[in-house]
Amino acid sequence: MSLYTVVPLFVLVSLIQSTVTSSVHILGASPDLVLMMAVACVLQWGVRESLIAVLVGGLTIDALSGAPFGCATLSIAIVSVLAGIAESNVPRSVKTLPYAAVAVATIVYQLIWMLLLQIWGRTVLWVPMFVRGTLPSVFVNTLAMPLMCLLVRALDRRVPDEPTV
Amino acid sequence: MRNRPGRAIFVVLILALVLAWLILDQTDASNPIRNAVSYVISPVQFALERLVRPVRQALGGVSEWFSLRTDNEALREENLSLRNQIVLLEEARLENETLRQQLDFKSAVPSYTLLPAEVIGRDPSNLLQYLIIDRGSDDGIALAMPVLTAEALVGRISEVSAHSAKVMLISDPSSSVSCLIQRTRATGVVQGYPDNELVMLYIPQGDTVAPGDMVLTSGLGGNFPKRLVVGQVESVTSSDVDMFQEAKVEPAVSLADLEMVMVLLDFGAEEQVDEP
Repeated sequence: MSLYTVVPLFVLVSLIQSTVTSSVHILGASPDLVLMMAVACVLQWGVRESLIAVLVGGLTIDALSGAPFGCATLSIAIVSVLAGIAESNVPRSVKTLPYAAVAVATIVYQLIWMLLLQIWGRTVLWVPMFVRGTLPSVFVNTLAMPLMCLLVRALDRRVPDEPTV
Repeated sequence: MRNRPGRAIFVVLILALVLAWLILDQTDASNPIRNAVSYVISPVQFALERLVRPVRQALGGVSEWFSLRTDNEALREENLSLRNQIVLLEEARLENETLRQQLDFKSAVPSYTLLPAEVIGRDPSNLLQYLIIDRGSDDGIALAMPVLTAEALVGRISEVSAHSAKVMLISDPSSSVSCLIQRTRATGVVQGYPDNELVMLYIPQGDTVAPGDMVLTSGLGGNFPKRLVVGQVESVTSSDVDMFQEAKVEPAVSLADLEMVMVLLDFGAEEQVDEP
């Protein structure tokens, strides 16, 4: 995987998430494209290869969000490491892995985010935000995950590896 | 997969920087970096938004097509009723103006300078309710300025860079606005709730609130001007054992679909006059 391709892609996906898909609401939630892409990349290439691109995606989300800077980057880094553990322990033949991984990742990601918001003095309505924000997000992200996996697999086939120095 | 120690160090370095930044974010120290990032990102967002808007509007048009006939009839009836109300209100306004002049009162509805702004982005998370607008400090925007539409209050400026600004919507859980019920003058605080909803809290038990009541800003606290429309009471929850009542408020404007807003440039707490 070439970082020169994936890093700009993460930035573009972050911008699309903020500008385009944020106004698409299914059950009150819009797809977390960057989170989905992070999980798909980690499952495809492993956490070591993907983490820098994932962090750039998190930083772009932070720049676009009203949350304290760093919430998205820290949350997405933790989630990527967890997805990496799943990737190295569960065989690739398990077809449901991407869906289970993105569902768990969404819950963990948003819970960490809420915790950081709470620590930084923002009002967090834990139960309503979980029921009306996180659960619909789990549904939407799991539903949209096949498309993201297809995109990442297509990238894997078409984009050449990073040149060896 | 190639194992690179340099890459691991880089990742640890980024995480350490982010952690430091998260702490610095509580002060103004991170503002120059945020400004620089916004400077690069906002033109791209603006272009993307321009590109996507016609598609979104077309899709919205298709979904609205089916309800056009019933909507049209309802709007005609409402129009007739509103015309009658305008005549009565105009009479009341003239009478009010004359009486205020006689009593030498400052106008309760001061004229404000409004700056139109285009929405170029929304908060990418599903947990927060923020907008990004295409105006910033170069256009005279500053922190905490109220943001409205022609119909209602929308939020307030929470972060400013040179060419863009972030608006915390009134539906964000961290937002609270001092409000009153127009009919009964019962006061309370409107707080944001997930899914673009609003809840009016701390309404005293003795005060009357009913579905359909209009909710306006009270001006208490000096954060927002008085008498801006916030929404309409949808339902009321009260219990004998609670000190306060709660009301679910339907926002007067669809906060999820905003495309244009106006920033109130010259609002100051000192402009608040007379009691609600």
